[in-house]
Amino acid sequence: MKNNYAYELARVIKVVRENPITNTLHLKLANQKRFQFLPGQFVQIGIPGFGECPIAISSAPQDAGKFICLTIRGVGELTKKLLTLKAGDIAFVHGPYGNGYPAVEKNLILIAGGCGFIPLVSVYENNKNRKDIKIQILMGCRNENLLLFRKKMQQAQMKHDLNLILEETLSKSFAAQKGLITDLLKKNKLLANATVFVCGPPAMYPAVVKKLLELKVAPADIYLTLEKRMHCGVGICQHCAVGTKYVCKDGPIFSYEYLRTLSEYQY
Amino acid sequence: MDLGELQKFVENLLSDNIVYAPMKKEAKVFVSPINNFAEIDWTSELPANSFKSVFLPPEEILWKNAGKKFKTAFASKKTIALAMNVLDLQAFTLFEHVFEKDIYYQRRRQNTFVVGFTAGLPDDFRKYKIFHADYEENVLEHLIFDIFIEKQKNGNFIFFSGSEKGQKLLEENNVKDYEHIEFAGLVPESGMNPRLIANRKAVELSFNDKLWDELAEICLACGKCSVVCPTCFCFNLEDDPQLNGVERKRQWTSCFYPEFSKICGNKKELAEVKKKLYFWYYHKFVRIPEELSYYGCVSCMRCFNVCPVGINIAANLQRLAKNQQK
Repeated sequence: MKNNYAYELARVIKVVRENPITNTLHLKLANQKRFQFLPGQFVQIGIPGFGECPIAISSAPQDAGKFICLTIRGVGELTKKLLTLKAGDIAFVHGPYGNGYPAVEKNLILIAGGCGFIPLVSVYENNKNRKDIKIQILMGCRNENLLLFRKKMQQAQMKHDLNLILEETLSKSFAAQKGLITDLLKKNKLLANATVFVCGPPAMYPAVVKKLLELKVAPADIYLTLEKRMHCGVGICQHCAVGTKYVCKDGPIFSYEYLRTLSEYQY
Repeated sequence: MDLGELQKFVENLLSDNIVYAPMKKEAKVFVSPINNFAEIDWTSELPANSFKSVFLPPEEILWKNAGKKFKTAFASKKTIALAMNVLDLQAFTLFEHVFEKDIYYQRRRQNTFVVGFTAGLPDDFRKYKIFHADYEENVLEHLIFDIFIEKQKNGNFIFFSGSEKGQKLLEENNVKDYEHIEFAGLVPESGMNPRLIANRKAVELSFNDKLWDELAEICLACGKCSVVCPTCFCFNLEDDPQLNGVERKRQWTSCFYPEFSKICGNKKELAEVKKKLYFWYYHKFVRIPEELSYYGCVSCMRCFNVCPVGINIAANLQRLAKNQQK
């Protein structure tokens, strides 16, 4: 029987500073060659003495045999500690956990708020070279300093319809508008026949989902990534329960078709 | 088997196991570690606490770490949960499914014998206000246990085995006269208990029911109900730094505690008491039945017995069902 609470040792092979409070760790796991994951899945990363937390994998699934990336913003005790890891250090992880995003069979709209771009970048990497679908990205961020994955964003802006909106200031390096993510939904024509993956802070969801429904996107085509406190990662400890499901095991990605059946998600 | 023979059997168990059993203390019965046969309460009175901590300790060490090294220690003490009543066996049966793949639970279970007991329904069984789980005729077929003892009206005891482990223990103790009962799964052939379905319906879409606002007015969110509840199994994983490394511990928690749903930025999904109450009932009457087609509440009324403001789960269920019909 597998011990779900035991760590695997991972080696930090590279650290990329995304912005003053966010790093991307490139990790090589002990079983890296056999490691597989779906975009949207997460691992638990910990430091003994500081606990552990779920972090979405931000690299492409095609690279899973070589490394995985975890993009971490230092907001709490543990995540701030994780920002001190440097190349050569050991990290403690277990996973992957969660359901991951469903396979993309239609056009793809990615709506990201701030850190919400982290799991979506894995989806983007996984689908960016497809000729059979169109991709549209709507991204909101507080200011330019907090942007993530700048190189990937530059490439995406050349290749796909990437729209950036900043809350506080305009960007010097990216074509951006000023305002909130919902303003982008008002100003841009959404791709027709599309699946919409939304990830961002919880406060963003009611406004975005309401707007999408107004624009006649079907609830079954809207997927939200939920953030909840988690301890076990395997659907036992109850912290992350949402309705009859668990964010760690059945999520973190839920279709709005399911969520709208619960009183707290009726927007 | 008469009382003398039962005593011999139990004394054999006491010789090389830690035994937990119901024990009379002042006016109440409590599940406690016992040292001799005379301490055991054989009246079938429901103990004030449950057997939960025997299977899921309030705190256990998952591993110790120093540098790159992790040391895992599994529970190895031979333990017997003796004279477990049917309601606590139902809660235990739930745990067996919830913790099916949990290595710490399973290793402890390997070293634990579960011995159920009934003296028949107590004369005043109405006081149990059985509102959710049932004393069905074939109740034993749907319970997990190693041995079950039934006290008959003539004062004698009859034995059942529920596992190979139980059979072996009976044989080793020269108990030859017993019936083996094969576990027939959680759901009876006749289908899910209608009461379980009705209670689920009453709770599931009730978030806007006034009852929750009224309860939130009086509830202190102290969490006593979940501590005493035999089917509450929420836990935290916490790190405890020691001089020579770090221990990661699994500890009981409660959805009524303030940090239960806390995420970064100090945001709490269950910030309001109303949401906590609904979450707790939802776990018992909707989520567990959905996951396992089984009871998430065994009707023991311990939550009511310990509640400082007298929140009565049976009465609340009745009221929700009534309001739902309106």
